[in-house]
Amino acid sequence: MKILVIEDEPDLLETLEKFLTKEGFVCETAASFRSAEQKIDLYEYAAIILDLSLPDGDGLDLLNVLKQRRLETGVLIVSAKNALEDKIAGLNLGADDYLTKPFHLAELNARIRALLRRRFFKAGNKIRIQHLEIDPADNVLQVDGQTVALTKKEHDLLLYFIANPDRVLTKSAIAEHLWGDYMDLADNFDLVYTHVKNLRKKIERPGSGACIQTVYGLGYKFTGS
Amino acid sequence: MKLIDRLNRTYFRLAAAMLAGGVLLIYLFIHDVVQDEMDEKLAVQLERIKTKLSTDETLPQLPPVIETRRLPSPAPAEYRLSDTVLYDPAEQEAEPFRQLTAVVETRGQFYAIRVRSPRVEAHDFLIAILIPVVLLLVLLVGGLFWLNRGVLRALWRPFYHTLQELKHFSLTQPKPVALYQAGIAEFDELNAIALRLTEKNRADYQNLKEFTENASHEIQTPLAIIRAKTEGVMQTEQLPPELTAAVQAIYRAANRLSRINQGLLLLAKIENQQFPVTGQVSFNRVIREHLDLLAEMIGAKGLRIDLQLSEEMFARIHPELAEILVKNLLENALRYSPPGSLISIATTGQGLVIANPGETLANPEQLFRRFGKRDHPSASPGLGLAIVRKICDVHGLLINYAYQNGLHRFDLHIPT
Repeated sequence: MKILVIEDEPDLLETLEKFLTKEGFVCETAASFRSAEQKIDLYEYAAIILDLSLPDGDGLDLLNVLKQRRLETGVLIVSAKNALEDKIAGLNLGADDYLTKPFHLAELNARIRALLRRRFFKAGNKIRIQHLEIDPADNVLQVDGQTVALTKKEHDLLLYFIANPDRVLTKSAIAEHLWGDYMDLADNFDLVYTHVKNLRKKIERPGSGACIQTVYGLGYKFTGS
Repeated sequence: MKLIDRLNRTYFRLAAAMLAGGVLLIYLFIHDVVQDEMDEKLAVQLERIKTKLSTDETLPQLPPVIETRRLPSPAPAEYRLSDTVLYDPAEQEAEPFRQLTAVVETRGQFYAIRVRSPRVEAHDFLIAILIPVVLLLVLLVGGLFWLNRGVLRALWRPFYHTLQELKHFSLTQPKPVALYQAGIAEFDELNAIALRLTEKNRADYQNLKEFTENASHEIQTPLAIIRAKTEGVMQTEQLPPELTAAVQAIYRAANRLSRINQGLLLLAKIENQQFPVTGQVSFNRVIREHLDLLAEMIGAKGLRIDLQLSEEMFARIHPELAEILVKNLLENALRYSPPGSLISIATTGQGLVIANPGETLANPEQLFRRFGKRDHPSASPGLGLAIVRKICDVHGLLINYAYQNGLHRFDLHIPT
């Protein structure tokens, strides 16, 4: 799937491009409003990652361009502006999601996948990975065909792991994903550890290796294959 | 005091002082004239008596106005004017008189003669003068008052207009203050200065706002790069332990820096009043929602919550700030309560009290300060309560901290 990254900071642009390519996307980049406008005009993208502050224009205007062309492109705004008004303005203009800088790459990945899932897959479409089968819209998990109930947080956590297979996810990235503004407190109370422990119990098969590995000193890693 | 009142008061004082002086002068002057006239009349009377005595032996008597005595022996000539009070049988009361006492000689015979004339009493005089003068004063001050109201009010209208405009001036208003040319040099000068100052303020505010946004962007973007790169390094298989520790430290520091930056920017935005008040926010609703979000944390620490939302508490505040206020207070209570303890949260119509047990603080006065000295080293950047205080200050809410019976008590109060 083709993704366009619009970001004026070269270092960040490069990091995002590498990361998304590694995640299996076809990634194109634009560092200015003009080049972004041209690319949107010429090609079709599954998703656009859009930085609002560009040197030669306001990213919100690109949303208008997309709207006029009635494209099926999903838009994830990535911005340093975190005022509620900015978020509402972006979402009102047709963006699908809004992520505030600085963000975790894993979070960006999870959001893009959720966005693409909503845009391109029908409801009821299940994700199959190893011996697991999960419905993104429902807190029910099938382990080897057996139904296992998940809590809302465990469900979110599992989806987050599945979106980022074979990647070390730090405790703070997980805490931020699950608890948002209360991530500090969750981190403080070791809730990530508790939830990972509970999730492991539910998804891991006795005998086979661990699905969720602990990476000493850094965080956790979900083995995808 | 209003300018017009001050002016009226000054006029009144000045007029009163001048008229009091005038009354005294008029009194002295009239008194003098009347006395001179009276003395002259008495002298004429004396002459008449003298003339009569030179032709007629009978002594003219008309007490108390004329008294004449024949003196048995020669006496030195006398001519003396004086004031006296005598009983007047005609009026049946004591009356003031002007009297001329004289000793005269006519055809070798000496006579003592007294002629008197009733005097106008001093207070009668004063009353006669005071009544018209006071009337004059009232008319004068009334006239001035009327004149001030009409003329001064018209003259000062541009000034009051400027005052109103400045009173309603807001840094966030899109247009300059609307001041008109008064055609009065002083007012036009004042307007020019007011316009210059307000425009300067608006420009400064605009710059500050832009700076805040720029700083946010400029700092958050490099932080995003640091974070992304560190996360990239973390993906390396078999990272040596010493590098793991270093990467972990960089990652934590970047997170912390990002949090501090966001906190400081939030403080700046609140200070710049970038969160306009649009209506009432129900604190009870916000508290309930946040307790739902915190349910897991509360459970994990075995905390119990004594929630008493008996009365609805409403405050005029931006909804996002209400959320932040409640979040920071609850987070603080949860973080510093010992496991298994009881946190009480209560709202009244006028306020909110959150109390949690804990050790006494060494520096309670530092509690609401930015990066204030804290007893526990902690991962949080130390801005939560500073933000609470700032939100309260900007919205005219009162926040108090007290330590009582082993409880940390935060008291939020809406002044009436």
